[in-house]
Amino acid sequence: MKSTVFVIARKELSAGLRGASFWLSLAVSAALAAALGALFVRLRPAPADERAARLVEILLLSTPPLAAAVSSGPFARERASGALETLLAAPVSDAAAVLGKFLAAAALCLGGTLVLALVAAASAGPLGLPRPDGGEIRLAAIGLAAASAAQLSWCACGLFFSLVSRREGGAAAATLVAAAASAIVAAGELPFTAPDGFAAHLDLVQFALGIADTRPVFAFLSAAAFFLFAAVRMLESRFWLLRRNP
Amino acid sequence: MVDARDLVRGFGGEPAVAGVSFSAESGERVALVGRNGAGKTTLLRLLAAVLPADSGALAVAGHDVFSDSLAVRASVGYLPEGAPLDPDLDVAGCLRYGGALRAMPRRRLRRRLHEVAEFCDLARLLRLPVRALSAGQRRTVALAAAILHDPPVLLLDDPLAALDPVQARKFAAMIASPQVSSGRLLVFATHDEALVRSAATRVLVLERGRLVGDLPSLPPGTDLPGAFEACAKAAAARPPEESGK
Repeated sequence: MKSTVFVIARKELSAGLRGASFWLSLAVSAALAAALGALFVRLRPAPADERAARLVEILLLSTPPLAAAVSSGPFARERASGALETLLAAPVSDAAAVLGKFLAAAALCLGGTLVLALVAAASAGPLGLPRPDGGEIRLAAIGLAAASAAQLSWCACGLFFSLVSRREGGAAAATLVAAAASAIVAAGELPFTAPDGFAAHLDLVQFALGIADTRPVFAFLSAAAFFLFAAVRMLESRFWLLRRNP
Repeated sequence: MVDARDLVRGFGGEPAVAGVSFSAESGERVALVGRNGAGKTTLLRLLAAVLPADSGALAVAGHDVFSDSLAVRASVGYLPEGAPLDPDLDVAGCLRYGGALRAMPRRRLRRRLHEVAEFCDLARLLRLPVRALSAGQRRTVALAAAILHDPPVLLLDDPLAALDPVQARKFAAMIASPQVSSGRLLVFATHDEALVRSAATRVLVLERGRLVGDLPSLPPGTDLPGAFEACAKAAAARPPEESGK
């Protein structure tokens, strides 16, 4: 199973890098990251030791287009072309097919996020030096873990919608809505929302003060596991093959 | 090679395959014929282990489909209806991807790729993206992908559909050639009478999911609709426990 997972992942990764949707969505997400960075600096100035948390918020809010674009294509395209039946006729388990495509989408998404992190850091202003107790470093680490877990959950969600939906565009739109909603809930304190929402960065600040609250990370990882499981079950059902010829 | 007993597969409460039983051995070229919706595609999907049966027993190339579906898929070459190919790849990539999914050793994959490309006349198309291929070329690439791993069982679903007469004749000759059909069991679903007459050594007639006829060949002077009618009538006249077997 391991080797087929990597065969599928490699093929999807190379197809993703060659496709226009990855680069286009990366450009959109980068523009969003730059805009949000500038907005945060202007409307909610924060002390240097909180800026890393702000970066996490910017990443959370700017990556949904990227996640939606890279994860909603693989199954939808193959369903539309019929190539999914060819894949399922190969000695590949359903779980391996889902995992292979998930790994490729996650790699594209996390790779793109590194670019977005640089854009966000550049637009959000100087981050300041880490304090001697390393609080900001820890804060940034847990924040990046939460942002990465969010990406994984959105990729899994996108794969699920990619299987359910007939069109790649429909799957991308559904993923974008779900990802953006969860990002807004997780990011919480936006310049234009109430300050006491489900603010991930408040948890992160607490973490920097020595209170380890990793709920956002585990919530996103649980969501990823759920959507992966749901995608495997959908694939197993072969529901798109269950219609008779006219 | 294939041993099916009382295979049943339903869609939304309606049986698409209703108690089909048959056996076929290596070297046979079996044509599945029947009207649209008779269950040909579903039966091929069951044989390819793409779709699980609701009940019955099915062994393909010595492997049980229910308990070892991956081994069955490894033993089967399958050309689905419409000959779908991965739109993200070029022709060589498509063939290599299929070989890699079947864990073919690199050297063997290279040798087989060369052989099937030569046999199917694909050498000049290998670098072309799948999107740029004509219907006939796509069909040929899909056939090449299906025989690449030299499977003991080859399943073709409506291989001549949507081909013009020239392409259809060329493709039919390819299917009947020893490179494709000798030494293995070939099962193909078709509406093409000429293909049935030229390539099949056995004809299975399906009607509403039931196997209503098992003929050594299409009788002379009888066209496919005539064969459907005759087999359906004969099946209706048989006692219920014998029909579908």
